[in-house]
Amino acid sequence: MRRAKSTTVGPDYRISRADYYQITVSVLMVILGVVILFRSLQSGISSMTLLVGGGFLGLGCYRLKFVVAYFMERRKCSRR
Amino acid sequence: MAEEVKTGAGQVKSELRRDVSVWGSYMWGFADVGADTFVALGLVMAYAQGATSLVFALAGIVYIMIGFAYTELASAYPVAGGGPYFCLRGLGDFWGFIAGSALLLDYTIDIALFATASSGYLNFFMPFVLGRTIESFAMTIGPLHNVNPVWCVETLVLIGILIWLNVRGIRESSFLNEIVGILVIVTESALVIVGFLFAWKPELLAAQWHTQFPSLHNLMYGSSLAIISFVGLESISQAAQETRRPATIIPRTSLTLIFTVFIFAVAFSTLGLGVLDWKVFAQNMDNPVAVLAHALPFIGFAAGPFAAGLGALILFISANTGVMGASRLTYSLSQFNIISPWFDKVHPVHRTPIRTILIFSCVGLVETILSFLTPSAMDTLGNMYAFGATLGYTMVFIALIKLRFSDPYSPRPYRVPLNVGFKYRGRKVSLPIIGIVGMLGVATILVEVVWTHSIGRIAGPAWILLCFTYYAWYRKKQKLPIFKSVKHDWEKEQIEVLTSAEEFDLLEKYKLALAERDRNRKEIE
Repeated sequence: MRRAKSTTVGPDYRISRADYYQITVSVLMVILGVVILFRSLQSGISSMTLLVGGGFLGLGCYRLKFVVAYFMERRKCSRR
Repeated sequence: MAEEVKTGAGQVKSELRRDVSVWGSYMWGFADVGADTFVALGLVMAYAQGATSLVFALAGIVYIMIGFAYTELASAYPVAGGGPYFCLRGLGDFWGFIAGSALLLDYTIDIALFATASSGYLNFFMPFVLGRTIESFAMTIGPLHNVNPVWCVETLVLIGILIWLNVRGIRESSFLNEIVGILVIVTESALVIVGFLFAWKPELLAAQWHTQFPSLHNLMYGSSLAIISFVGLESISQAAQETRRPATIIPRTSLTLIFTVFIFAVAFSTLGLGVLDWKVFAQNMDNPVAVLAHALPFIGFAAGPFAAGLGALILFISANTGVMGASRLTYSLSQFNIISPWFDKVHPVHRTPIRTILIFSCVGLVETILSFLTPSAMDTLGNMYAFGATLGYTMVFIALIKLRFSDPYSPRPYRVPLNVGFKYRGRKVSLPIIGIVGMLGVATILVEVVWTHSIGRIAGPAWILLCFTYYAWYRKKQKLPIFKSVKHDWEKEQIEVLTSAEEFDLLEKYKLALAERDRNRKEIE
């Protein structure tokens, strides 16, 4: 059985408590990533701190991409 | 969770009821794996020093691959047997026994290590209550240094309570698991957010990275210990047996669990190195998260004691999973004639598996006493834990790859990503690249454990040898082969498993795949 290529869910999907938790975590990861990067740059560039900040920011954005895609799809459907 | 089912022969057989939801399944895993960071942070810091974040990230990448493998196998074979069951099915009885004995070692160490760590977190309050630290009780007895009888007795008392609770049949409810799990997630998130916003000094992290980088030996030792912060993936397969529609639920919950634990482990080590000197964690190996929480501004005065209390509770629950896991594992192994059904005997009044509870908890007690005779009990137990886990995980990866060839018919609702498909004996099979990379990664950590852990390399294989002596004796007594396998009807078993899991779509797919295979065979004949 092959998995579907896209990991986004359809607009009829109902968001569960676990999903809300994941969305919150993703938003926090983006905020933390930005804060870490900003503070790291303030105290001089270090590869380790850039990696940590970039990691948080990148992973958070990647996760949020699916959330945004889901809400846009749902909005499109409700307009129709 | 157990219910009694009448078999065709009129016998009464106990089965686990499937009533765990998505959230319950996630929290079950988190209460087990999420507790590991509370133990591993101090241990790893003591060796990996300025490179702690790096070793957590490296071990975490290997752990994510292990998680993928468990997710595929647990959703394809939703039974509580876990790693040993997958090995038994893929590699045969003997290798199932090897994986089972490695896991059994981990369950007994789990009891000892997590009870030791739980009392360690309780000792955070000792200076406020008794006016002295737990370290002040350490003494030298003949050739033995840094022996701490008070901490040892505290741990033995906690294990005693666990034995009593389990014999009486009082287990923590899934509701308690959920409450504690939520509290831990909220607390850890709060510590990470407040810590990174107000206390984290990037220059301290960078300075420790540049000036406190460990030697190669310490780096290897630290990275092999870091894997213990991710141990407990067996809970995914244990939860699978009690989850409704496991094929749908298990991939979602286990992938979320894997990434949550990974993020917390890496975030805590990075935060720790940017807030305090690594030596502070090494000195407070017994309660590192509480020390970190206590060092935070604004909330530290309350967060320190709160994290200590919460750490003690979740670690105690985690120690309990060792007792429960050993009972489930021995039951599963006895079903396949790996060990005697003598272990399955239940208490006449409390209906609990009294023999396994007493035997394996007592093994945990002995391990605790012996570890407290070494200079660092936590380090010694961590050594052993890493050996059992890495050996078991290596076997699971091999089973994952083998099962892709020997059982391509079982539907896999989730597949480890990155596969290369090709024809093998007239069938289309797919080779999991991440499975191979993960196997090499975890085997490397196993080599590191054997190479750098002076106690683990002796005691770990000695445990396997001891179990083998029993296994060989039992199989010979039953007139069963020692190195070969007894014939199992896996197809019938798979149909029963999918039926009991109410995965009727998968059942249909499985039957169709088998029918197609039989048709092809007939055509060839």
